[in-house]
Amino acid sequence: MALGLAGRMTYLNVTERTFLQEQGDARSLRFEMLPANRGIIFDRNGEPLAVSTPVESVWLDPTRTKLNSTDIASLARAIGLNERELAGKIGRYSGHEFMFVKRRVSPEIAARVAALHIEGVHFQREYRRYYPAGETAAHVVGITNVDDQGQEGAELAYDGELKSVQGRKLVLRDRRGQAVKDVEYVAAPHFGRDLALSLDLRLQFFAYRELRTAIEEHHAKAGSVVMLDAHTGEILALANEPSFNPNELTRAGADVRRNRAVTDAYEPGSTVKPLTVLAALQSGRFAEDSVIDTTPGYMRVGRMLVKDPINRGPLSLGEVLARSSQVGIAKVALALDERMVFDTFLRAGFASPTSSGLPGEVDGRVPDSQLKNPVVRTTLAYGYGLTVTPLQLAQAYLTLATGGIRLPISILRLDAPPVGERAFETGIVAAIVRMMTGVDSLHGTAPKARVAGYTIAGKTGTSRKVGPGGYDEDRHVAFFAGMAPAVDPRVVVIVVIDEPQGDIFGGGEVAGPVFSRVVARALRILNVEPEAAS
Amino acid sequence: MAHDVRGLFIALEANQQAQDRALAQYSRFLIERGTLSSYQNVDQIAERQLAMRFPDLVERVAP
Repeated sequence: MALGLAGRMTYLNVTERTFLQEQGDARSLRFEMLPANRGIIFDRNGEPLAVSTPVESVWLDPTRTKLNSTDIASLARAIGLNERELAGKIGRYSGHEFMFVKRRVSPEIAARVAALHIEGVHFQREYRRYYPAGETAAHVVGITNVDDQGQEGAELAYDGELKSVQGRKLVLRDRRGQAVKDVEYVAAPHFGRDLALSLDLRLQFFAYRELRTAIEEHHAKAGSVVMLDAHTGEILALANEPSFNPNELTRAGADVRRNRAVTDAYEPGSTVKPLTVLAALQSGRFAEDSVIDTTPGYMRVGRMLVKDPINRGPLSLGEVLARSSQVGIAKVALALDERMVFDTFLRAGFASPTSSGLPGEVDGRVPDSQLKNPVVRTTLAYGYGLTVTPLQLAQAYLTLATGGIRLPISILRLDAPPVGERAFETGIVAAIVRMMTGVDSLHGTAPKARVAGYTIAGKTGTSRKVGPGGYDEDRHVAFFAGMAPAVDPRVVVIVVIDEPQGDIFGGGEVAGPVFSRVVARALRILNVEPEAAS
Repeated sequence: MAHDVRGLFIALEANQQAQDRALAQYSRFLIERGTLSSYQNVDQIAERQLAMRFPDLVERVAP
């Protein structure tokens, strides 16, 4: 039916129309299109994420084609248009040489129209791009415009590979539409190349679902979840909320289309503390069991007051991290050389793009102009005065998960693991990861990040947002950054929840549960064996 | 000779049309597959129709 009729449809370009129709009746010389579709985007397991499917646009030339009322009625019925409106439109276009009866109809409707055999009603091949995963993966996959050009996400980043170019040939046909002769091949069709992203749609689905659930629960403004393969640096999941349905573009504003995980930079708060402690171990001035006295629970740095919620007394370096003590971190930072913490941040990938290739990625900002000022050094050490994107934070934690190798981030599926660059010593990184394993214990900062059956390593963060009058007491960003399992990690996961409302706004309470649920699903899907004592 | 060229041309055109139809069908199958195999769908069928639930404890079930 639909397929059998495809051959009868003529694919004409507007500009060539007159030339064609002025040829004789018996035989006509025509330019015909050789259709070629845009490349398909798949996830890493071959699940389709963006597929172009042919549609037909129905058109006619009102100056040459005079339809009688019966034709108009049956045409309207076949397409599902109002008969009076169609007649009116044909009337308005009477002086024009070209009029779309209806753009982008399905092959079934096109077949119905073709079956009417109305002389002068033509079809023009176009493609419609479908996104089966919808809003789940909208930011990474991206979108195309009506001209089939990539506008955002992978559609934009890899437009050169994906795009197709229609071919053209000049054909001599007899009155029955049979080709008499292939006069000239003007251009061969160029099919777009298919693309395999690094995403695992199953993991993407859970990342998006759990993120959205948490944002609804806490009435938060926005959020992101990034999951990296800890062995290869491939992005297994990258979800943002708000999201949009790429199949119904008209409703989506620029704000919901933003891929926040790469376009938005946040002050990372306490999630940078493992890097500060790493700088301390690297300096040789501290060891894992060094004791830092945080008594009386607060201290002055210049005119700034640094304080912990309670006086925690003497703490080992590991406890400083586990309890996320501001005083402890401040004392460590001030005992280090001016640039030590800053340099560690840079080595972890802050302030430079991740090389993911995702459009709109920003670098974040890690200023070094005022490192002489102890206040600046102190705040930097606990995550203020710098901004990073969720993806950069993920890359920094990936560097810990690999034992100190900084890997490039990839949004494409890799055939072989990439070559990384050593950023930190293995032994020191192992100590940091060990210190981060207590985070989900009952006394840790995020018991709700626990994943039954696995030991995890991670860090919470809760940073205040900057308002018109300085840091705002009521607007926070909640983070959880971590990896699982703690030994030979398989995934690195970053959860960012922007402006949770209400009394519960801390990283451990808001972002921790998202980490727990996403990782629990991911480790099963990835077939990671649980630890013996579960 | 001219007849051969014409025959070849007709064959080429038939092949191109067959390719076009096959690709169109492939695209529709892919979209259908994407809809049916979406985790949203799988998850709902598992929980609602098959009364399955996500296990609380993780166990090794295969050697």
